[in-house]
Amino acid sequence: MSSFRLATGGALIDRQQPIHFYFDGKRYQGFAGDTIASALLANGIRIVGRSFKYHRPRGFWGAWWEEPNGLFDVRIREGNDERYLSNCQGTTTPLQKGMHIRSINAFPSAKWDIKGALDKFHAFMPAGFYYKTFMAPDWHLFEPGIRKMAGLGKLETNDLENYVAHQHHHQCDVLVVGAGPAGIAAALKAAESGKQVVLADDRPCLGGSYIGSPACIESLPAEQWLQQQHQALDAAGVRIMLDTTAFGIYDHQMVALAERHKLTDAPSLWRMRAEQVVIATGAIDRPLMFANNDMPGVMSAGAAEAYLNQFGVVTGTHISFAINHDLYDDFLQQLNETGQSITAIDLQAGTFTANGVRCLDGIRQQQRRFSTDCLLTSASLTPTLHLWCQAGGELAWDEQQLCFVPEGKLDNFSVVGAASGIFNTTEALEQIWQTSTTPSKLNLRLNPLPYSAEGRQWVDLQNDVCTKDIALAQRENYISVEHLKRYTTLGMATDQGKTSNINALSTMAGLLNKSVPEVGTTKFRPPFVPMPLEIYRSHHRNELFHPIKRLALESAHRDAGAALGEYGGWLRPGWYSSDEPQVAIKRECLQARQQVGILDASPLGKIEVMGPDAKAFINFMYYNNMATLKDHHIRYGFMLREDGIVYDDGVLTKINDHHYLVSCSSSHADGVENMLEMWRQDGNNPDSIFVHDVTQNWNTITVTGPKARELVQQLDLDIDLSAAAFPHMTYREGTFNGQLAKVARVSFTGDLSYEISVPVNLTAMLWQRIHQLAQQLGGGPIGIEALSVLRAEKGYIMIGKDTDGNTMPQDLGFAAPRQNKTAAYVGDRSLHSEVANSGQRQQLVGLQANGSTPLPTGAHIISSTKQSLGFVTSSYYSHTVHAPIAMALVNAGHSMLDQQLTLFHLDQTYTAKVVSPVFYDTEGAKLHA
Amino acid sequence: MRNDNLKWQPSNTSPTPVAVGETQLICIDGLQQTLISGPRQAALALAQVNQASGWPDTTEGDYFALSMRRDRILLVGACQLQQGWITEHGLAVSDVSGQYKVIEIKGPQAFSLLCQGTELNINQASASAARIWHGYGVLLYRHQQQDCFRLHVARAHFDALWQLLSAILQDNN
Repeated sequence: MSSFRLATGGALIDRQQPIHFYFDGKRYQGFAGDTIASALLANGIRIVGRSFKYHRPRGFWGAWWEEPNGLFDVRIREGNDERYLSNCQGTTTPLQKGMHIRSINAFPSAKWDIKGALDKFHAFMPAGFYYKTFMAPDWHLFEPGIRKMAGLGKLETNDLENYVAHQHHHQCDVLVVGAGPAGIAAALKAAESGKQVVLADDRPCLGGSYIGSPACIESLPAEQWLQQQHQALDAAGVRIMLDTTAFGIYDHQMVALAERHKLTDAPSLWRMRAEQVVIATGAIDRPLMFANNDMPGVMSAGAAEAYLNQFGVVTGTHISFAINHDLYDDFLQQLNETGQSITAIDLQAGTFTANGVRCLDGIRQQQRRFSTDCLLTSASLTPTLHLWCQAGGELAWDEQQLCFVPEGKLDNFSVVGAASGIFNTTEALEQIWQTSTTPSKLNLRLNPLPYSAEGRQWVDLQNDVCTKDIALAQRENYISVEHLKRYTTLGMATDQGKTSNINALSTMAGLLNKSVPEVGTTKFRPPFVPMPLEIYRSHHRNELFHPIKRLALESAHRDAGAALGEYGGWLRPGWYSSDEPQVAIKRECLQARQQVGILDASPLGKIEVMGPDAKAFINFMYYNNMATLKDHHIRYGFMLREDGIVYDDGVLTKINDHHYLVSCSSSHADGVENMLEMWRQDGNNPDSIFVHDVTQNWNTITVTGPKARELVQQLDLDIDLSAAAFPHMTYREGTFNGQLAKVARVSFTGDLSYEISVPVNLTAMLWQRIHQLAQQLGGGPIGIEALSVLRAEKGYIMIGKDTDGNTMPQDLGFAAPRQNKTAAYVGDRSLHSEVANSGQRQQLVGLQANGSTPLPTGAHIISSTKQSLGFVTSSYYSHTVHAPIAMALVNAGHSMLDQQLTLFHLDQTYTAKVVSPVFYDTEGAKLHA
Repeated sequence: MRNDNLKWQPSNTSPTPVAVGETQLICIDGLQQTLISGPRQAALALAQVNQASGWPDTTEGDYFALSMRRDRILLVGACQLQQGWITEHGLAVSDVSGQYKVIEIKGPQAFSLLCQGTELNINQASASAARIWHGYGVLLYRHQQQDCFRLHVARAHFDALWQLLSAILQDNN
């Protein structure tokens, strides 16, 4: 028996509602309102888990979010529904009926852990021993075992049904974070000045550390003062959000709040935009350093106070305390009144050591020894300034109070109360009400705290980091705080150094004989406490996690038996029919080459560029010379990035000097529009150029193949389709069903092709008609997979597939504009750099495989010394040329025509000959038919 | 290369209205929409409207304009405007009737539903109706009445947005 519950007391528990629960398989009883931690302590349980590395026994150190040890896996049954939640922080997780609580890092139980013997070998496992010990023969040999041992709670792969977080946006004039006395006063003051105020606190009621306290605030008993203030807040219209944690501050005072509900329900996310944010987040105890300070029974004094006042739990029967200031004097008096023996440790009498087997049972200081089962400590207080730092606030080291305090001012943010370094509540309130100007400082009995290397002193309880690990890091020159953290794992995992950062800095300062600020300060990033990923996901799940663009003709494609897949962010037909994909693709390729194929090309970008400067702007945006393009003519071209790399390819249609239509890759439509907009507004007159993305207003159906003209003829578009009247790379406007139909004679297959664009409302009718006509002509629909083969046969590239982040237009065989175009264009200068002129650039070539099997896409072309010379970008078997075909980017590829190359892929070697990438209709007769 | 037919629910471009309590989600089909870019006064004159609405303006009737940005409006309603570059007005005009689908959300929960996807404040005006709602680029405004909101969203994202709105509306119940 150690900790226990008093017969009376405990502001948060309802003794009329007993709750049964299980811990490590044993049944216990708590009360409604208990946390897991308070319920376990009330049942005298001291060892609640095992440490991360050495499997040392661990008990509770804190009583709220600062707790580094008490993490649990929890299983809850509600009716037929069973919920499993891992890594629940015992101090903040409410107890529920029937809860099965499992200690982490321990088997079979926290008390009896078979890996507990690991601690005997601690001398062989200092910081960084992984990196040194498991290097030879191969880290990967040890990795699985180490990974299995590492980690905290156990995850389950089952999704939690109906575990959906709601997300809200809200605004207020003033957001006060923290509802202790200072936060309450700040909220009231703001509300009384007419501001719209939100007061958020992560506890279930107002009061912070004064919940259940017998202390007085402004001469009133705390309970009475809190009641009065609650009424005043309500009267002033303050919105009070309890059980709500402010876990992050983002740009422009956007504060992320997580509102807890029932444990089995996901918390809600509130994105609160506040004009002013008041940080009243209080302070926590700084742990005192001494040998074996990690033993169960060693605890924060503030936590013991909270357990007593909020849950009626006394944390030991023979309590000792080592507290470096007088803030807990009233509490110690209160504790004494419960009838427990209280022993003070004289900090000025020198260092001391905690003793015990598994749990604390005594203290040795010099020659003095005495029994104790609970040691309350507080070296000083550490203001909770995570939000202040996240907002960009600076910290200053307070030499007198041995803590970081906010420094300077930050627009729209202020810090009050203990978070600002004013630990006396009366003085903190006087500061808020502006009735006093000089708050006192914390009176530390021992300042500075001496550095001692005696015994094993824990700096970071959660990551098992001792002072000797910091000393080792210092000896190996990992003295910057960033390196120290990575080398020792200090301040990582769920608590992010809440209790360890200051002691780590102080230890390093002691080792280096420097001051704490000289060693470094501490920085914080969101989230303040771990948040379930669900809070970020919310309804963005399943199909909505990464929504795909949908075609207007999707239902028609499904009816036609299309196999749909994601292509460039759109859900598009890959092939048609339920046959094996390769069978369907072959049939579609042959149909398109021999009869006619029809393709839903609606996602192709369609961006109008209009205005008096459109002509010059277009010429500036394209690599190719577009200034000479005639009305109703089309030209193929590249758009480059400023570094000369090919960003997109496509065709440009000129309607007239003031009106162009940019047709870009389907997946690049949004990007090209952004690029056009960016350049329109930068270096051009934005009032003379306008960019309209009309991609989704027009649906495009491509008709391709030797019978394409015959098919289109039957659509009665009112256009002369003869080769002479409507040659390749020209544009005509006709009508379909009385509405405008835009027809471009361009080809991505190498055969005679027409791209017919009509308004969305006519698409289904046009598709139905074209589909019917295609079938009559022995053709049919083709999917993207067949199109990929057809375009590769002709040597047409796909940006991003046949190019990479280094490809310039000359690498693709388009060198002329680079040499001849005199007008400025995007990327011009970069095309004349040393890199651009290198003779070893990867250039696009065709590859003819030796044999009948296509080369693997991605296979590397290798030199005689097995160095990579490039890679295969596209590879297919062509049923048109009856041979495998491929394209590749190869170093100086254009000078390697007819050479034999060796390729390597997944332990297989291949050979191929460098050829022109055009395998089909090399003269272009079919294209111009 | 795989068949993902079952991964994605079939697209439904004309879903039936969803009602939860008195709050309704309705797909509005058949609105003519015209994009006009250029000087604001010239655009309003061409469109024959007095203003282009932003937030939290309430549009009236079946012919009105929305402000998209400094030099761009979306004209909603039947009109017979010449397309392309109109030299005499210095305006670019494109029909975008098929570019955007329109969703109407009305009822007592409409505003709080919308607040789940973006920061909305009736007291904080915006000259533009353009917003990002739950990551989707939309035009958002009030139509006819205070608790009736309209969202214009790119057609290709309509399915996803409708699913999202329906899920949130039903979850809120």
